[in-house]
Amino acid sequence: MVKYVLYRILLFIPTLLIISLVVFYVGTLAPGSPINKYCDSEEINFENEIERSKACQSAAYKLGLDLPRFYFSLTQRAFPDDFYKILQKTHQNNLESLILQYGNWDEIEEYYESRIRLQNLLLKLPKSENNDQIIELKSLANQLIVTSDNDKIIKVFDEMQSIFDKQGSLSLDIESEYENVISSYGKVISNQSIQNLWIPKLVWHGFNNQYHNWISNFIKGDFGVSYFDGRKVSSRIKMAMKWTLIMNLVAIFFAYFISIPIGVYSAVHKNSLFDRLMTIALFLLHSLPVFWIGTMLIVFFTTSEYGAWTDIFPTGGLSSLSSDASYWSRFWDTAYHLVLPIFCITYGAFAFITRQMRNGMLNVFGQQYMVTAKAKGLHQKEIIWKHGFKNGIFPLISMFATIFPAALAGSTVVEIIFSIPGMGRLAYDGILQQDWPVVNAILLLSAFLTIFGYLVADILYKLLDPRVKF
Amino acid sequence: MNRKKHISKDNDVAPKTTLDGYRLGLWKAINKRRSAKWSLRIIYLLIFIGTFSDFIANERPLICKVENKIYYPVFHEYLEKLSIANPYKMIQKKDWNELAYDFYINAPIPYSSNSFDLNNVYKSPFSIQEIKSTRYRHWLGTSDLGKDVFAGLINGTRIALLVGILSMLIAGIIGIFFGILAGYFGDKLFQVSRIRIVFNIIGLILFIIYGFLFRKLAFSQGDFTFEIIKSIAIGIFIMSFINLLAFILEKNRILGKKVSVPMDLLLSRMIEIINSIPLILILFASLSVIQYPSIFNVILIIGFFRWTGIARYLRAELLKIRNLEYIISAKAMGVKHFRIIMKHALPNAISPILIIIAFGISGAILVEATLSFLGIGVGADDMTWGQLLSFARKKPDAWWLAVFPGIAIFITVTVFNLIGDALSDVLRFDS
Repeated sequence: MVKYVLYRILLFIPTLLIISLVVFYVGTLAPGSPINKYCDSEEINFENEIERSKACQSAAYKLGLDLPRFYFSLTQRAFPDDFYKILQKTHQNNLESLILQYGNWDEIEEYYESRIRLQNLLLKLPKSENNDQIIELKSLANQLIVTSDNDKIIKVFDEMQSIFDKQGSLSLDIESEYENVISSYGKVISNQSIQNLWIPKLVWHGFNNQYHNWISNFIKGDFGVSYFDGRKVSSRIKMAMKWTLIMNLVAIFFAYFISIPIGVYSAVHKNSLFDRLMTIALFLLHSLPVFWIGTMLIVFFTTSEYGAWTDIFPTGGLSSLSSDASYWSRFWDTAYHLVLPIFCITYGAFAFITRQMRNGMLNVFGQQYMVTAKAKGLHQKEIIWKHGFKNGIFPLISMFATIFPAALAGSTVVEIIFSIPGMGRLAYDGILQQDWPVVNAILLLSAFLTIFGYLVADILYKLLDPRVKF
Repeated sequence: MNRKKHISKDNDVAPKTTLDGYRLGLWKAINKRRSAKWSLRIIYLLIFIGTFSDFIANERPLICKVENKIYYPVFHEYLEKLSIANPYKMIQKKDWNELAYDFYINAPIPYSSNSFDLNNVYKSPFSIQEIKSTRYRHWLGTSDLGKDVFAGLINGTRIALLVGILSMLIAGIIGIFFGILAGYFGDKLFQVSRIRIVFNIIGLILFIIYGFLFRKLAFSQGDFTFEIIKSIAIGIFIMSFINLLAFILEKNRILGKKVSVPMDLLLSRMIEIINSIPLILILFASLSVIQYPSIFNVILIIGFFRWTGIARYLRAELLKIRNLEYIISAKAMGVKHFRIIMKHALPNAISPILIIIAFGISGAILVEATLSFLGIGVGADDMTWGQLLSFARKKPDAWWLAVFPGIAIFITVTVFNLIGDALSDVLRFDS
C-alpha cells in the first residue's frame, strides 16, 4: 500500500512537469505582450521614444519578462541569440517579419538602429519648429518602425524624400540619418541570406529564465503577480477559492442528500412506475445544458417582465448590501444571491449521482451475499441498508475525492453567468485579459488537485473495500 | 493442400460473415427500442437540415427572374464562396428583398442567419412585426439588428452537427490509433529496432521544428486550420522519409537490434496529463491565443483534447481480447500483428467505442455551445445556438432568445445521448 502510494506520487512529478510546460507554452503563444499595457499602447504618451523604451524596460523588469522564456530556445539561425531582449511587441513583430523575409540579422539590426536614431532625432526637435511637414515626417518615421512589407517601405521612403525636397531647412543630422536608413535598408535587401531560415539553432539561456523562475516560485507557494492589477495571484486565488468551495460544497451536499435515497429507492423498486419516471427524468436532466438553465432562470426569475411574482431572485453577483450592514443580514443576502447558482450546480450533479447510486445498488443486488442475507431471513431494511448500501456506495465515495478539482473548474460556466467571483470566473477573466500568471496558476493547481483527487479516490476505495488490491 | 493459402482464406472469410451478422443484430436491436428509433429519425432530420440549411433559410431567392433573366442566387452563393463566380451586378447596392423581380421563389424562411432587419429589432414571436406580408414574418422572433432567430437556428444546426461529428472523427482517429498501440501491444509487445527509435525521436523533433516553429509566420498570417493541416502533411512526409531511412539501416545487426517500447505506460501518462487539465479552461486558453476565430479551430481543438476516453476504452477492451484463444492461435500461426489487429482484434473491440462516440458527439456539441455562449472562438459570419442564447444574457426580457436555441441544443444533445444509452444497453456495457 505505502509502496503503491509512493510510486503514484513519484509519477506525479513528470506528469506535473509536462502539464506545467503545456500551460506555460499556451501563455507564450498569446498575440499580445503584457508590458504593452505599460508602455507600448497608443494611449500612453511619452516625451520621446527613449522614454517609452525605458518604461518598457522597467515594466518588463518588474514583471520578470526581460528574461529568456525557457532554458533554451530553438529557432532559425537567422535570429540573434538575444532576440528576447527586444521588449516592445511592435518592434519585435516588425523585426521578426523582416528576419523571416531576408534572414540577415546583422543588416537588419543596423537598419533597425538607424530607424530608431532617425525617430529620436525627429522627436528631439524643439516644439517651436513643429510644422505640418515635421509632423508628417514624424508619423512616417513611426510608420517605418512597424512596416515590414517592401513595397510599403519604399512608399514611405518616397514620401519622406518628397518632404525633404520641399523643406530645405532641416538639420543635416536628420538628412544624413535618413540617408543612413535608406542605405542600411538597401543592404538588407541586397545581402539576403535566406538559407539561414532553414537551419535550426539551439541556444542555451541558462537557469535565469521565465519558466524556471515561475515554476520554482510556484513550488515554494509563490504564484507571482497578476499582470492585470499587480496584486498577488495567491491572494486573488484564495478569495476566489472561497466562493467556489462554498458553492460546490453546498451543492454537492444537497445533491448527495437527495440522490442517495432516490437512487436506493429506484434500485429496490426496479421497473416500478417511480423508477421508470425517475430514469427518464434523470436522463433529460442530464442532457440539460447548465448554461441554458442558468440563462432561463435569469430570464424568468430575475425580472418582473412576466408578471410581478417572477422577480424573485437577484440577477447576479454576491451581495447588494453595503459592507456596514450587520453580519447576519449580509449572510442572508449572500445566501439569497447564491440560490440560483447553487441550484444550477446541484441539478447536474444530482442527475449523475442518482444514476450512479442506482446502478451501484443494482450491481450489489445481483450478488450472492444478498441472496444469502435474504435466505437468513433478515429484515428487508437490514438487507438493503446494511448489506446492500454499504457495498453500493463505494463508487460514490471515491467520486467524493474528485470534488476538489471539480470545484476548481466545474462551476466555471455558472460563475460566469451569475457573475460570481469564483475560480472559474477568475480564470475566464484572466484568459480574456491575457493575465497569464493567474491563468497558469489556476490551470496547474487544478491539474495537481485532479491527480491528487484520483489518488485519494483510489486509496479511499482500498480502505473501504478490502477486496480491492493494488 | 497449400497450408498458407488455406489459413489466409480462413482468416478472410470466417470473421467477416459473423461480423456482418453481428452488426445487423446490433442495428436491429437498436431499432427495436422506441426511444432510439425516434432519436435516429431526429438525427436524420437534423442532418437534412444541416446539409440543406442554405436552401431552408436564405435571404436570397432560390430562383428568380430579373429583367427577363433567370437566376439561381442560392447556388450562385456557393460558387461565390469558392470564388469561381463573381457576385451578381444587380445586387451591388441593394438588399435582396429590394430588387424588382419578375417572379421569384423564396426559401421557406426568407432570411439568412446574418441578414439584418432594422425595423424589427428584438421582436417577440407574438408581437406585431413591421413586415411586408406574413410570408416575411419572424416566426421565432428576432435578436439584435433584427436577425431572424429561426434562420439562426437552422444555420446553427449545421455548425452543431459539424462540430459534433468532425471533432469526434478526429478524436476517434487519434483515440483508436493510441488505443491499439497501448492495448494490443501493452508494455512488452511493441518491439522496434534501436535505429528506428532514435530516428523517430529525431523525426519528431524535426517535425516540431519544420512543422511548427519555422512556420510561425504562416500561422500568424494564414488560416489556422489550414496551416495545421499543412503542418501535419509536413510531419507525415518527414516521418515516412525517416522511417524509410530507418528501414534501410535496420539491416545492420547492431542498429537493428530490437528493443521493446512501453506503449501502455506512455499512453497512460499521456491520458493522465490530458485528463487532469480542466477541458473547458484549456479550450478557453488555447482558443483565445488564436488570432482568427473560426469554427474549424474549435473542432480541431475539441478533437485533440477529447480522444482520451476512446483510447482508454479501446485499450481496456484490447487488453482483454489479446489474451483470448483466437488471437493467440492466430499469432501461433504466424499471422502478422497488423493483420491480427485489423481482422481480428479491432472488429471485436470497436463496438463499445460507438457508445463513447455517441456520448462524445453530444458532449462536443455542448462544449461548442458553451464556448460560443461565452463568445469564445466563433467566427463572425456564422450564427450558432450558443451565440443566439448569449443574446438572452444581454437582454433578459427577450425570452424567445433563451427558449428556442436552448430547446435546439437540448434536443440534439438528448438524441445523441439516447443513442449512446441504447448502444450501451444493447452491448450490455454500462457507462
